Amino acid sequence: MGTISRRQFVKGAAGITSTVFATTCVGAPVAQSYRGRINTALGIDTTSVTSNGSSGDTTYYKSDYGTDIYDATALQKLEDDCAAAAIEEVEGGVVLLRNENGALPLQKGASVTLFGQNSFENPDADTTSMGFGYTGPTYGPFYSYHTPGDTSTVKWVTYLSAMQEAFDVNPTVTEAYQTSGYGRVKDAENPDVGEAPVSLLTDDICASWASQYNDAAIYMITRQGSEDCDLVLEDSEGISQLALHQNEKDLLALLQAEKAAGTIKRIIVLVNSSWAVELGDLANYDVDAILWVGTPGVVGFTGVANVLDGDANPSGKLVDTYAKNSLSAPAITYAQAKNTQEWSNLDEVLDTCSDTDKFVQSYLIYAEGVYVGYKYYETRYEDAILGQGNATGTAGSSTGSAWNYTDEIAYPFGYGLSYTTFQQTLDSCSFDSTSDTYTLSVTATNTGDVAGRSVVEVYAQTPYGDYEKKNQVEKPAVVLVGFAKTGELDPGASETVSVQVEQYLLASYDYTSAKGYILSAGTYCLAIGDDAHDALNNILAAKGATGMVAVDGTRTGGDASKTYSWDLSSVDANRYAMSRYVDGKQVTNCFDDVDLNNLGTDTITYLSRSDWDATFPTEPVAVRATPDMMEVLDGNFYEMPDDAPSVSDFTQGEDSGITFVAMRNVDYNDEETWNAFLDQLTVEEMASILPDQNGSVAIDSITMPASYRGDDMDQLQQVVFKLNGESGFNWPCAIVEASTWDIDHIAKRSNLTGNESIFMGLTEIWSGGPNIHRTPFNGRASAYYSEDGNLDYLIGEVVSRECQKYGVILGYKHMVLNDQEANRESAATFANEQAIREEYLRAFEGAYAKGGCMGCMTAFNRIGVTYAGSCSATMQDVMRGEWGFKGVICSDACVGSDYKTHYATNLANGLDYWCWDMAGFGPSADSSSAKLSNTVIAEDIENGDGYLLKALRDATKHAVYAQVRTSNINGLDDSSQIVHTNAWWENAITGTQIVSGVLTAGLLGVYVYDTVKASKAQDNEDKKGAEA
Amino acid sequence: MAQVKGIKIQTAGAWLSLVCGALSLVTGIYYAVAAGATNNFTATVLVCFLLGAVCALTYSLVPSDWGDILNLVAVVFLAVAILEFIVSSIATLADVLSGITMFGSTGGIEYIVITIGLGTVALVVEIVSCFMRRTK
Repeated sequence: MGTISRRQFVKGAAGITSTVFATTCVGAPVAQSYRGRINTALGIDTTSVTSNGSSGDTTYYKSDYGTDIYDATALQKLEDDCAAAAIEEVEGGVVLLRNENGALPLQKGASVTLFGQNSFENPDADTTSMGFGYTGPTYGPFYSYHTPGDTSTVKWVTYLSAMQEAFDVNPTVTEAYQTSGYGRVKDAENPDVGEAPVSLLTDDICASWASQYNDAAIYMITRQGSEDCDLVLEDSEGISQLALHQNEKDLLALLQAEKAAGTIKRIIVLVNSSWAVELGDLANYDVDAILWVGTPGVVGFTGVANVLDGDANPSGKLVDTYAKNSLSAPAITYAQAKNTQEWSNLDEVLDTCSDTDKFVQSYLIYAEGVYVGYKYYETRYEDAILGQGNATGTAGSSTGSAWNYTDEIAYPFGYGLSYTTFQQTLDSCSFDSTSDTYTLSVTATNTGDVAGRSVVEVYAQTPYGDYEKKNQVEKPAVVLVGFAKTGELDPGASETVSVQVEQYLLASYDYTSAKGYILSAGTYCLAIGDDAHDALNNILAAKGATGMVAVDGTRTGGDASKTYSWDLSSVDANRYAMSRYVDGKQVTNCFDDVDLNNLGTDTITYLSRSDWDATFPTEPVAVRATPDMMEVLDGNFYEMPDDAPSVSDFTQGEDSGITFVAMRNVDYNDEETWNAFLDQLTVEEMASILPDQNGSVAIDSITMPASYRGDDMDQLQQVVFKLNGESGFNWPCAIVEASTWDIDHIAKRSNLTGNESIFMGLTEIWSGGPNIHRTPFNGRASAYYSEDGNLDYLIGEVVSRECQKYGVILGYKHMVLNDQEANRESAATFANEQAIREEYLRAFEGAYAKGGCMGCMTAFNRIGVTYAGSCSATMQDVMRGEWGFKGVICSDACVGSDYKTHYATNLANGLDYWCWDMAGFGPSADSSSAKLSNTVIAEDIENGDGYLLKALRDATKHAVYAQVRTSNINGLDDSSQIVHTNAWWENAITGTQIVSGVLTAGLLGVYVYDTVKASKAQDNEDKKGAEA
Repeated sequence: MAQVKGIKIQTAGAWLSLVCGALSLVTGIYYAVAAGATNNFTATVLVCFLLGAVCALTYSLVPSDWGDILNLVAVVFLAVAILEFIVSSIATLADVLSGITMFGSTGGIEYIVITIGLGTVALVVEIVSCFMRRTK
């Protein structure tokens, strides 16, 4: 060995410096491609705006908490208000499902024992790492779609801490669970509900509640899903993940025995789940009370405790149907990983399509049509009562015998109890043809002993006659069409509320004959009820039916006085033939190619109430992809039209002196001004804002600042508070929000989120909300409001309007037919147009057509076989055409995936920018994703594609129209300029690259010099040796 | 020192380079098989691993005055191979790190970890060999 010579040292050092140099050379382009994401993660802004301030107050959008977004006191006040509103939301959103013998509320300070492994965090586990995207063992309640935790402004309230604050909690059992080592497993394939075996509760532990801590046994049942993690139809125990599992049953049996022995006074079950757990069996265990708490967010368990001890009276109502058998819905036949299908000619599809195999292989069929959630169960119930449509057949029956409502439903949509009772009367109903609305006047009276709030739910039934049967127009027996919530009513007090019902919501989409919305001929009913089932019973009573049953299976006669009805003599196909929102725009079929029966391949039978038994989907249909379908599946189907304008038809780069901020009040339809504005921009400038990485870049020439985008309404993330670099408030999930049925509260929460966005400089919120709980297993259900398109329609309008008025774009996602996580990437989704319009598009319609929502994120899936980001039917025909949408539409995160990055096809069909547009590397470098959208589109236009130039101008207009209506314009005036800086990490990479490169070159030089010198010396020695 | 097929390997540096060459060859072959199976194969990565292996083996087995620089050249090839492989695996790494399938992963994480691990060992070994003499 010996010492290292200088030459060897130099070579070794060159090995190190050359490795560093290679790293920077290979890594720098990657880092540049991810520049926006890196800067967002590090909280770095690389542009700023300067102004001489001569234009006075340029704070166009003001927070309710002052104009200084670095004001710590103001931010603390805002977050305190969020926390208070979140607790109110939980108090008004949790749903009391059962309360026998006044089991709830408990006495304040009652001595209780908390049961259930998922009630407790594991002190040895870092729960903060178990949030979004995490797979593996998970401990404690499911608080939020996002990970809760302490921040500088909000303290996390755990379930245990909230309960200890309100009650005297058994420490022995708590410690047993905390140290048990058991926990659920969050996993899309092999989940575990995580309940500890009852043997954990040894005799010694059981003795802990013998003389105290026995006022109540409070058992919390938890389920958890997330993005990319559906709940499963069948888990390792061979049952639905939503069924009660053996360890849960064993624990309930223990509690039942303890109650029977007189040790435990009452059993209370909390349902910590955004997914409809099978609760029908709980009554078998002598459970006294059931309280659905959903996923309550970072402080929500305080609200739960307030409800349990009577400080608050629960007033929430279910927004999903809780079936006794979670697998009983017709949608299950084509749902979740287990029941997602692959083409029958898969090999041919894979050979034909050039995109990655997994992105072209699967499909779903919404064979249930409009019969989703309560619309299925209640409609089949009505037909069973009326003895029509083979409703009592065995197809779809959970028992295998005649279908029976009581066997199927534990708690219906809209259900929820209170600590008091209410009497609601339908005082009047009138129709105003000018506004095209019915107005129902309903008086709610508190007939109980404590103060509380009453929810007035209004449902409609529309005629299902010969025309409908002939033309496949399906009719749910009841459809939610309006609601209102009273203020707090003292015992004996009354309040009369008015509920507006749009007649539009009574129309049905006839996709086979009228090819538009129709008002059917026959009898219409509007009814109030405690829930969907109760309202239907009232309608049935008005129809003179008998044999109805209440939710609990007891006989009921309904209440005809709660129904208002009228007749329409003939089918009216004209009323809604034209758009309600855009003058002169006809509403007609846009989704024929999404209906499998129109594609010249295998056909399906949609579920129809004309014959439940014959049409209930039981076995999935094997579908062969035709050549036409494969062409669209392949994704790159754009071709420049023959009549496309030429590039030279447009003027670009001609300065007119119109700045970005000057466009803030320009009407969307002012074509002259918009064209003058767009003419100023070069193709490269317009293309530069196509790729998103949590925002788009600035355009200096028009002083348009960079934009900042992030997720979502349940917690603003990615873009963070300027003051402290933290995320926004962690709210209860969207389902809890919807379950309040409280428009005033929903508006308040939206206002608070809008305020938070100002403190972040956030310009667009990508947020869930309107997708549908098509089955109870959708992993992302907690981010979506409900199973009902109309409820989402009514909520979305309010959220959009109330959030956006603070100068932020609400970008609702995921448009559309994106109702499960399994195979979410690219699954071809087939449905008929009635279901698409009345359920899935309806959920978004309120936000866009009525609420002025300015943003939209498309979905990963395909609408039919067309990738959602290339679907002109939704983006162009419906959203912009029929709804008059003026905002900006983006893809879901495309991240270099080939099927999401057929940029020209996407742009030509209506997409405006690409979320998380980062170049593909490696094998995908050969695909379109090797370049970002701006490069591809600019190259296509450079090559003479005038059609794409027009599309690029449109996309720019959409982006500017939306962004100039955000707080992004705060501080802008005529003197403003954009200032650019490099992020520190960019400078670091450049510096490292230069230093390592120079060092490598220098070391190599020294090495060569030494080598040559040594060689010469050796030659001389050899020469001398030879001479000697 | 020992002899390999009549070639005298005189120093630890030459031995290390031999180990590096063998490892690089194995890594390249493993990569080609595993990446091919997951449709994540890029020729650049394989070529760099193989060139690195050739340089390292030549350095240790074929004496020549100017061949002394070959282990440094091998370092460069191996570094590029590993980096290009990491870059080509970004989608899978992103999916694994984020916990959600969205970034276009093409296969399991196991072969990525193994390839990076083997390649890194080979690289470090060759850098160490650069600090050593090839001959006594």
